[in-house]
Amino acid sequence: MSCFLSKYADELAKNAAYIGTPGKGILAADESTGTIGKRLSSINVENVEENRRALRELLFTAPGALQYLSGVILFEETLYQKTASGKPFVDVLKEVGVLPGIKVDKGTVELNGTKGETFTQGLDGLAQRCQKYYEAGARFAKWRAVLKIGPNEPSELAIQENANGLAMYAAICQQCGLVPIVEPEILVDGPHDIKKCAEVTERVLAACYKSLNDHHVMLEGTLLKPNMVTPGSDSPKVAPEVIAEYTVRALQRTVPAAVPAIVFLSGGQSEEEATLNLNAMNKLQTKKPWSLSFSFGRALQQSTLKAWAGKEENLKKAQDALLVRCKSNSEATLGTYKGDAKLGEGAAESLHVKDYKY
Amino acid sequence: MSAFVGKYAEELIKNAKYIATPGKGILAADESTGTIGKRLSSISVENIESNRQALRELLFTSPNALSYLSGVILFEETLYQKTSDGKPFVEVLEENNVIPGIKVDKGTVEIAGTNGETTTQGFDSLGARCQQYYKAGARFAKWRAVLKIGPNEPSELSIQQNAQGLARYAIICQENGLVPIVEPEVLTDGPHDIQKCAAVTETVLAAVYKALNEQHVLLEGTLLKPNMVTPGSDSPKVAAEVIAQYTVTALRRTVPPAVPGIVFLSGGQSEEEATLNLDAMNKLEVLKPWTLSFSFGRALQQSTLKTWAGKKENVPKAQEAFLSRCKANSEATLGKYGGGSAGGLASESLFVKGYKY
Repeated sequence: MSCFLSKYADELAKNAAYIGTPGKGILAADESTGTIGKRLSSINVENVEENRRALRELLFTAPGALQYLSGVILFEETLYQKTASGKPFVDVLKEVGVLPGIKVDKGTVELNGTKGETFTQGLDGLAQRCQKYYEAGARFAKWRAVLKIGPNEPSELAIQENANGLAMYAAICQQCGLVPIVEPEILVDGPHDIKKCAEVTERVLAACYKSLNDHHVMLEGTLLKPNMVTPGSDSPKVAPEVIAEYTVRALQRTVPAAVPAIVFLSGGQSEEEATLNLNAMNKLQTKKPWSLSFSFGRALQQSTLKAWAGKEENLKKAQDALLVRCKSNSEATLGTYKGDAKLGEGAAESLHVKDYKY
Repeated sequence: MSAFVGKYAEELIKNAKYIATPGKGILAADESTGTIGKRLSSISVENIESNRQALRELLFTSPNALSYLSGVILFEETLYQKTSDGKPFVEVLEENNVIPGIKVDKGTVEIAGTNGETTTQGFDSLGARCQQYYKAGARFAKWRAVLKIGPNEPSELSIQQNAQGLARYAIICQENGLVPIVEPEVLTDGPHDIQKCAAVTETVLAAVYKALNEQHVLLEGTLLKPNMVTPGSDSPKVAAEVIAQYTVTALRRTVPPAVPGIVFLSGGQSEEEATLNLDAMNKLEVLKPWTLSFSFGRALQQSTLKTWAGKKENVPKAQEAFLSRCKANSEATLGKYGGGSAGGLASESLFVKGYKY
């Protein structure tokens, strides 16, 4: 093979396929300390470790919700945290068949000479960190590369640097037993139309898969976390069926069948929008050799956060809200979502923040 | 899209899809005058136009054979030839729902500074030529790029040159209404094992699809004609199931689902080998988002040629031999080939070292 088969090859393929189980998806709960701070402050909760821990415990112990999840992405702090009664979060997840994942990138930095384009840091000592995370129970990883659409963006430099970074990260993960989620997010910011987004998405994905091949990554042991193909944030919205058509076509043109699953990011979409779009894709009658699922952060947690508001007495209400979104998205992966979910407060609220920094 | 969607887009998509119809495949009858000369001389037949015409007429009028074909690749001379009662070959094919195709490359030349690696010629006036061929009835084209496996081959230079060449040819075809068959042949010559062939094939195909994306080729309106993944010619043979496994894995790792069909070249495989391997691939229980079919030259014509031997009285028997291989390969595209349509001739290896078309 042109790919390198690490000693973890079979395990990687098995875990990647499991994460792509129809009816399941990923909860992205890997907000860094800074980012989770913004979420907490939006509901007037102090950004201290105990509150961060309490929020994640709320999510991971929500009755009935975890059956709809195949994985949860964690931030490093959370990987080592426990429930109030002392059980490691990692064990809570594993006991219900949810694979723990870990965010391993260290954020973005600007590329000199470009107009605000970035590349992602985190390669130094990555292998050692991955080994530690594997020992702690993690079985997949995530690394977010970011590109933007503009008159001259994304530049060839930005595309190459980010594709290369993703491929190096992916190769290292596989050597250490972690399934790499490859995330080349093209931001929705801008006045461009859906055709422009499709064109850029196809160019970026083609570059990613060439890089992954160059770096001998075993595709069967990876996942893709792309943006959906949509109009820019300053452009008129279109129907989910249109988003579905453009998105799936872009993926058909670039993502090899060896990739077991594609788990979309939600970007700035509201909870309901994200679910409806995912559902439309799974209803589409066309060639889809990979399963299409979710890896949502904001689009799974928004109404849960609002219902919780940091108060212990709101626990049940908050966990119910999470269950509603998990179940809805599970149905969306099967194309059976009827759009009748009891919408929590804020479920239809756009979560777009211009030039969002995680 | 990043793909160029010109005035022929819908037609290209429709034709590519039709060529990829399960149960059908392509007859590669595009041997250049020099190459067909070698075939004819192997059966002691003179290489003159009327003999070339007679051979192709034999093939294209074989009763029932055309029902197993979705396309035939022609050499330029043949595109303008007729049957002995004056009917253009192109019409014979069209009446039988077989799409005429045309070889548009002009052979390979060595890349200076490499160890015998090559690039393919044919760009001069390619657009204008494609337009002419379209007018004459052609609806798909073929361009053969060649790579070899060696201690330092294929080189990055050779991979890049051939991938970019294929992509440029492909977009020019699409601008002019012809579905491009993209053919990056990795030669079997050599002592390497099947893993090596797989690694090279994956690297080459990844480069090809990157180049096609860069040059805005509409993948839904293309076909791929790759080598099967096999051990080198100087290496021990392996079972059809092994070839199937390695080949399909390589394709799943590199060929986007938007490509409607993959039509294998037979290289130096015997008629029967090629059919058995294709059948094994279609029997494989794994997700394949493109159809897997054939675009065979030697592996469809070998026993037909020998049976004909240039003699008019042998035509019916030769046509039966041809029908038999077409039917066998049709079954192979459905994973339904039962074996046993091989005469002794069908098992004869067609491998020629350093084969030049």
